[in-house]
Amino acid sequence: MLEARGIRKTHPGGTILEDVSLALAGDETLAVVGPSGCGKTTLLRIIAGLELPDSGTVMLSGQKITTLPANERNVNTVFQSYALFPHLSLFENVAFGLRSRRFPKSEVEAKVKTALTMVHMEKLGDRFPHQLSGGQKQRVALARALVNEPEVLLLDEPMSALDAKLRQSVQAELRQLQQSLGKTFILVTHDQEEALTVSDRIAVMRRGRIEQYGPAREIYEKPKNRYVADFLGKANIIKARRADGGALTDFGFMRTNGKMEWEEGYLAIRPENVVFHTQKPAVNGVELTAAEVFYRGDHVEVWLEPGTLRMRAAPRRGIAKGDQIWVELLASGLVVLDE
Amino acid sequence: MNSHLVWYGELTTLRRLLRRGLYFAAPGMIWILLFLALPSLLLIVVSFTTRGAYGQIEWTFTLENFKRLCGFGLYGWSADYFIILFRSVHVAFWTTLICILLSYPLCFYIANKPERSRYFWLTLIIIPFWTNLVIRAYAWLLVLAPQLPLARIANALGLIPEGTPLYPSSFAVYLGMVATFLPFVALPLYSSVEKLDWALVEAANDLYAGKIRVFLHAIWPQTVPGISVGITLTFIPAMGMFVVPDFLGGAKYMLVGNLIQQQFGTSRDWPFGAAVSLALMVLTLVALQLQRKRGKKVEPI
Repeated sequence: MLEARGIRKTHPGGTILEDVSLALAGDETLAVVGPSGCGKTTLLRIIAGLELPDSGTVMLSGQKITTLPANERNVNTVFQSYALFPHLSLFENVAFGLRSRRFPKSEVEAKVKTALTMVHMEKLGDRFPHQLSGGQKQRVALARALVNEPEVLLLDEPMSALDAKLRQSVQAELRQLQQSLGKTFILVTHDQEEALTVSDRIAVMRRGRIEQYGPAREIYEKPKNRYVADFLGKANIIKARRADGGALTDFGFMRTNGKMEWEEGYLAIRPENVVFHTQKPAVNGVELTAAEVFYRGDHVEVWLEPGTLRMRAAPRRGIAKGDQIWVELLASGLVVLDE
Repeated sequence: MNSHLVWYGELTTLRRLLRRGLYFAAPGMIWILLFLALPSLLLIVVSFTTRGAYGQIEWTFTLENFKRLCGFGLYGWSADYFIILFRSVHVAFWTTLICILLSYPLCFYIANKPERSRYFWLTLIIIPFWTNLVIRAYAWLLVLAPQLPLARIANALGLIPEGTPLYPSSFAVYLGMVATFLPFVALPLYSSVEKLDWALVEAANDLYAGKIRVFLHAIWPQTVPGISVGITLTFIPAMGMFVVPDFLGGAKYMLVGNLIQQQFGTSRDWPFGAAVSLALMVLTLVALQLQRKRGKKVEPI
């Protein structure tokens, strides 16, 4: 159980974190996402003990660890650059934390072997970091942190140095690893797909604040505001005015399940919730022109006009540029935004 | 199609390329040949000749000079030359070590300064280079002179009698040597420290390391390249140094450099001087080789 309360941090250059709070159960993965400079790495470093907050507390399993030195907290980090010790073999790199704590030799050996096996590197223990590929380094860095059996594992942009294909397999492995170990993983990323794949919960940050914090699915399906909707996945933002049982938009009256707190505001809808119809649908239908069609293999992305609405459709629909088509803006997919 | 090839975008032939390389290399090679290789050969030859009655070289070849260097003199065996050689290595070793120990805090201090003031501090380190070594040695004589603060403090502590200078003494020699060679260690070390990857330090801390472990695994390996250059630039010249020990150590503190200088100078015994020089060169090469082997172990950085 990790909890951060009212974390603030300022640098001479300005405010980095402004009143950040979050709580996390013991066996969950949290992804902290946001553009570069939003303070997500600083938050991670404060949890790791590599930086002190100006105010606020960090609690781990009910204990206050805000000012506990990094080498005394049961939290380990996988650094963005991996930070493997270049003069030590992989075995010794992984053994480093255990040796620091003077574990008996036989135990060190057994644990390091287990950790290396866990990341499929058991045969390369004698190698040195400069002999490894980026993906292998990443695994070693992971093993080096996990061998210490930390309560919380922190990962700072763990996939940023990997190519797209490798990234996907590492994401899956990371997810499996976390579930089999049942520990808390916190990863910082600016890759929204990574965040959705790996994590149970997502915190979306902007300029030192958490904009929205919740289960991954909720963040994607019910974004609170334009920023979150835009940052995680693609979203159509539609201007709307409150009306009885729905909203009045540029596409006409749209029924929606969301509650509107405003008179005039915005709705969001994901491209996959804009659905193709061969004829006028019963509700939330609108006839538009396909201005651009992008073939993406498993789907086509269509830009509809007027109003630049983006939709996804199956390629077998055969939508061509210039076609007039009927689409339905699914009522369940129309999300009412705060701002 | 004769042997055309593209050399970084330039179409040329192998022959032309080789010829050009020769033209570029020739001046340097000739220079080294004339002023390094030939004199060294001459030195080796001279070390096997005999000193004439008036200090001239007599071309009767003998091993006498080397026997003498090994201690077999006119009056039986003595360890004098060995002591001088050992003392030279000893002084060079401690000078280098002290320089390293002083440079570490200095370099970290400077590297942690804001960028603008770093150059100021680096300039302070470089300033001694703007003055001739002999002048600096004389300056030390003045600093250590009797009645001046340093001598007075030493006197007050009961280390020296009143009215005497702090030289000649081994303290003065080390003071002069360290002052002379500190920049040669500090500057290369600084370049390593400035590039230091602090993520490794954080990783070590994150992995429960104590301060000593952090230094040994996260800082030391990263500074080895700088230290290595520093050692080469300090240890070798320090072994052959003669100005500083001559001025600040007096006759009592003879190093191999002084011995050589004496043979070529006042004693006018060039053959023996050449033999001692040769011994110093061999010693230097051995030291370099040892250091290179040590350096290899930590190469993969």
